Amino acid sequence: MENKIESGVQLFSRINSRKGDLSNLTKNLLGEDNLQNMNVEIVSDYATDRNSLILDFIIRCILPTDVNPCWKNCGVIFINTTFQIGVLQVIKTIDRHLKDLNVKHRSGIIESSLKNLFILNCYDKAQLEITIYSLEDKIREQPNIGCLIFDDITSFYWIQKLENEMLSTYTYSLKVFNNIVTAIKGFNLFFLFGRTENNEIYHDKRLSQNVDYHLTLSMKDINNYEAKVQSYKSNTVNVVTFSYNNFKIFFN
Amino acid sequence: MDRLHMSIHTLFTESAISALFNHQIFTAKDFILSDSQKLSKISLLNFREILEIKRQLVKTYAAVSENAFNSYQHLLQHSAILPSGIERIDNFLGGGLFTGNIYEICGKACSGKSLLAYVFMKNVIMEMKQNCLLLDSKNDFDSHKFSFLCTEYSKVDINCGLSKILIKHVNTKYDLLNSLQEIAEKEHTNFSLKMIILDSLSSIMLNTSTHSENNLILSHIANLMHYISYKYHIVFLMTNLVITWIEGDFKAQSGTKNTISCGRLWYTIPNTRLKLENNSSILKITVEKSNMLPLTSVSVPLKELITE
Repeated sequence: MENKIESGVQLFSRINSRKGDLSNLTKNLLGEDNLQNMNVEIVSDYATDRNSLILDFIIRCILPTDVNPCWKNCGVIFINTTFQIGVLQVIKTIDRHLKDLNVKHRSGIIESSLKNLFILNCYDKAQLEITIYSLEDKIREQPNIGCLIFDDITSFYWIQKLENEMLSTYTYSLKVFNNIVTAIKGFNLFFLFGRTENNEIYHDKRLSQNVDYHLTLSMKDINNYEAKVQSYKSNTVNVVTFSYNNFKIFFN
Repeated sequence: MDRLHMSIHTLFTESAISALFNHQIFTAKDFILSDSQKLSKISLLNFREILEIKRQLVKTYAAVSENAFNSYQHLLQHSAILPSGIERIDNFLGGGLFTGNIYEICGKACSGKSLLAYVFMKNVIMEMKQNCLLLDSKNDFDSHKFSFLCTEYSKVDINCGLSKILIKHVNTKYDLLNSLQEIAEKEHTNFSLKMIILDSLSSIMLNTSTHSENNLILSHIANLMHYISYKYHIVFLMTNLVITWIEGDFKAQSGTKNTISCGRLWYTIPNTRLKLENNSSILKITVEKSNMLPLTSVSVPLKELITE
C-alpha cells in the first residue's frame, strides 16, 4: 500500500469518523466492552459449526439501533471463503429477530440492514491474499464500516501447505491474521474471525498477543453449543452455553 | 492465478516480463505483493507505471465488494428452486434444491444415493426442460435404465429429455479438477446448465495416496464447486459414501463409527448434506448438515421415486 502522511488533526478526524460505539454487542459472550479495536477469534474443530454464531455477530452489527439498543447499525465487511453464510440466511435471521420483537414494516429494515453488509467472496488463496492487500482501500471507500468478519482464517491452509510441507494450521492462521491486522490498523475496527483447529490440545491456544478474546466453541448435542470465553484484557474465563434454533441464537 | 503476460496490461513490455520472470515474479499475485521500488528496478518501468499496473491488477484479481442488498436483488432475478417432483421430498426440502448451493447425498452402499440424484435430474430435464451435466465417475449411467424412471412420458419426450443430459466421464481426481476448471472458465454460453451431478465423489477420492495431497485436491474441488454454483446459479449435487470407521487398534476394537468418506475437511464443504437409509423399501432422508433447513428426517416409500 502507498505510504501516506497525515497530520494529527487528520488522524483524529479519520479515526473518529468510524462507528464509535460497539459496546454491549453481545453482552452474554463479550460483556459490555466497546469492541472497537478488538480482535476476537472463534476456534472450533471441523465438526462444530461456527457459522450460526458468526451470523449472529453480523446481524447484531448491521441491524438498526433504534429498534434495539444492542444493535449497532454499522457497516460490516464479510470475507466469505466457505460459502456457508449467504444473503438468504442473513435475511431469514434478521426476519426472525424482527418478528420476535413484533416489528412492523420489516422489509424496510431488512433492506436498510442489508445495505450495511459488504461481502467479499474469495474462491482461492491468491484471491484472498490480493483481497487482504486491497482491504485498506475497501474500508476507506465505506466510512460506515465498523467491523470486519472472516468466516474461516484457515480456509486455504491445504493449498498453502503444498508450498511448505511442515506448515501447521496455527502458523498459517497467524500469518493471515498478521496480514489482516496490518491492513486494518488505524481504522478502529472490530475484527472477528473463525479458526478451524482440529487438534484439541491447541483449542485454547491464543493465536497472537493481538487477540483480545478467544472463544473455544464445542457442540454439546444437535443445536446446543458451549463457548469458553477467555478475555485477555480482564484476564477472565467464562463458559457460556447457547442453542441455535430456527435461525436464532438463544443464550442460556 | 494468471501468469504475467503482455495482454494483462498495456504497460508490460516483453523485456519487462522477461526480467520479472528472471526474478521469480511469475503471476499477478507475485507482482502485486512485491515491493514497488524493487519491481521498478527489475522491470525498468518507472515507479508511477508500477503503481498503475498494480492498481489495475488489484481491480482485476481482488474479490469484488458486493453489497448484500444488491446481491439479494441479483438472487431474486437469477436463482431458482429445482424440485424433485415428489411432494413429500419437496416439502421436506422447502420446495427443492436452491441454485447456488452444494448438496451432498450420502449413505452406505446401495442406499439409493444415485437413484435420488437421478430423480432430481429427471425432473430438471423432463419438467423444467433445463440442461444437466452428469459427471460420472462410476461409468455406470445407463440411459435405458434411466428411462424406467420416466415411464409416464412418451418415447419422443424421453429422447428429448435425454438430449438435455450432458455426460462426462471422470476417472481420476485430476479429471474431475480439469472438468470443473473447464466449466468455471467456459461460462456456459453454449450450454446453459441448471444442475451438475457428481456420481460419485468417493469413487475417485477413496483410492488416494497421501493425506496432504488428498486435502489439497479436495480444497481445489470445493473452491471450484462454490465458484461454479454461486456464479452461474447452478445446483451442485453429489453422492458420497458413508463408511464405517473401526475405533481402537487391531487387538482392542473399542467400537465403530459411521462417517463421511473423504475425511474431516470435506465434512464442512457442502451447504446441505442429506443422509439416506434404505429400510425395506422405505427411504429415510435425514438432513445431517444445512445452513437453511432444520435437522429433521422424512420417510419416503421407494415406489414413489420410481413410479411417480
